[in-house]
Amino acid sequence: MSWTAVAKKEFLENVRNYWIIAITVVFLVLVLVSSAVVGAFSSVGSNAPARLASIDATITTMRFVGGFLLPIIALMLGFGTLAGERESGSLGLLIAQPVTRAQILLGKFVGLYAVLASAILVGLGGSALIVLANAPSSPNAMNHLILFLVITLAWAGAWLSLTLLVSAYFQRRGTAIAGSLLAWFIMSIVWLPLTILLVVAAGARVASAPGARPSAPSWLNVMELLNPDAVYGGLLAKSIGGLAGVVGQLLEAVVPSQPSTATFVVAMAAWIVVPLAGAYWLFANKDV
Amino acid sequence: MTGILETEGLVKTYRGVRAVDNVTLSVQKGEIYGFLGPNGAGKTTTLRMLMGLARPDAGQVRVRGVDPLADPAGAHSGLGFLPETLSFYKTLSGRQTLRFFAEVKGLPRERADEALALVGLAEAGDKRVGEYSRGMTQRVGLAQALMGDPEILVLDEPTGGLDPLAHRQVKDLLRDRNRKGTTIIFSSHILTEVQELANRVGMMRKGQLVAQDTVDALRSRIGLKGTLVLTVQNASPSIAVEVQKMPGVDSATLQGDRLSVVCDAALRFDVAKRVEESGGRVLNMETKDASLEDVFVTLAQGGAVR
Repeated sequence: MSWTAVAKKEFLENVRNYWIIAITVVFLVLVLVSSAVVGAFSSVGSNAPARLASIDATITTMRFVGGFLLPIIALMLGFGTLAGERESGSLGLLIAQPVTRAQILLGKFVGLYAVLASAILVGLGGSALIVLANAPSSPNAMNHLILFLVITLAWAGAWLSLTLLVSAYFQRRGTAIAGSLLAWFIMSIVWLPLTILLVVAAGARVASAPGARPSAPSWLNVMELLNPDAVYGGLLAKSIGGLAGVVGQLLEAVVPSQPSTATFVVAMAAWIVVPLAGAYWLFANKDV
Repeated sequence: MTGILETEGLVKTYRGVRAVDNVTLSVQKGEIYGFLGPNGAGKTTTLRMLMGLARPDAGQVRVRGVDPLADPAGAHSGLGFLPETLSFYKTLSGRQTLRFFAEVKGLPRERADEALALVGLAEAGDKRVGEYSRGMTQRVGLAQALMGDPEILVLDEPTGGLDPLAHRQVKDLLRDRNRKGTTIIFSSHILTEVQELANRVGMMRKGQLVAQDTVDALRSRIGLKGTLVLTVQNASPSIAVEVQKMPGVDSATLQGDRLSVVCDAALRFDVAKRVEESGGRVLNMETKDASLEDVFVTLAQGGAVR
């Protein structure tokens, strides 16, 4: 099948990208160093020797490090895949082969996702295995780790899909990277303060005292589903607990009922499928 | 539409400028079709629409009766394409690149090695394409187009960036493929190359296909005259003057014993007779037809075909 050839080519071409390799190594080192720092703080005042933090504490660290680095890896992989190849001319040559644009896009997504998943499994999975082997862990540690990796893999797929949409929209590599960074800036940096601002402006009350009733505008749940990072945080909170991140903590404080796990799962699936469908529509209807 | 590659009423506009304006062309099975025109005439845009890379604003494209936008896989199977601007995946080697294209075309990977050898890159096949010279990259491009013995070849400036030796090899290769039944459409700025290779030519000017025929037919339809060169014993200026007076003769110029006469080819025996009548003796007579370059220049400057 032609899409598998495209997927193999994408994987082969990008898995050797020095920047991706470097960020994956940074990923692994950062998680281990953070785990060691958290472990050292935990052992302050006790006679026990300093060790790595437990896997649950390390997952929180991985959530923080991954939350910053994974979208960047997805952006680096995806921003030029259509716009850059369109600009250089290699996309035209590929389209002139006996292959449909849907097959090309699917192949690119699968090939790039394989690289991204490899970075996650080496960076997060590798560091988690080291922690598991060297730190105390709860009986649920392995389940939590697997759940965390599965949700993170899905979230990475959503970011890759979003990046392909941006790459399909722009004609040139330069504008595609600017567009990708703008998407990242809005979703990962601006969204949370904007949400807080809007919630406060809408007169939300925080349940700060026992028995007090929190209140929040009804659209807050919808807003949470409109950002892949918020969906990721929500899914982690629902499935592992205590890892909701800032958005989740904010929501817990002000929202009487959050979206269900099933809603978060559907939202995450939509974050993978909808941008990819949009990328296909743009790719299929634009000149190359 | 009956050709193997056809367009009908093709129109493409970029930012209000008609890059391609109502182009109807037809390439017949088994022929070599040369596509000519000054820079910006619309050749590449037409080829891009033929390949389904650009969507026409109006008109139709058919490759073996198939619309390449509606059924790209069907239209492109058994078709080799070489774009004007070539770019490959810089981290892959030449061999990996061609194996990728072999796989996309549904060919066994051994075809990639054969294609590398065909274009003289067998030894450099494991070097990264990013390290190739422009000529080597062009060879990889040709190799991917020729791989799998396609029924149709669409080549946009196939000899661009090649040295004279490689240039000749490519021409021989294309002739050989055509003898084996491959239909070829190619654009080129090298008019001698087009004249040598093409059975028919299409000439674009300002987005329009202003002529489409064999070179001989175009010469005649444009009304371009050939040059008759006579070697004359006892040549004198008066002979040139007498010849110049003949109806159908545009000019007669004497240089030493060589008399050059621009006239219809059919007049050559009348001219020789007039030279003899004027006191000269014709020792030798050669005719030089108007070249494709003459045709090109005439059409590019606004000349019309009859």
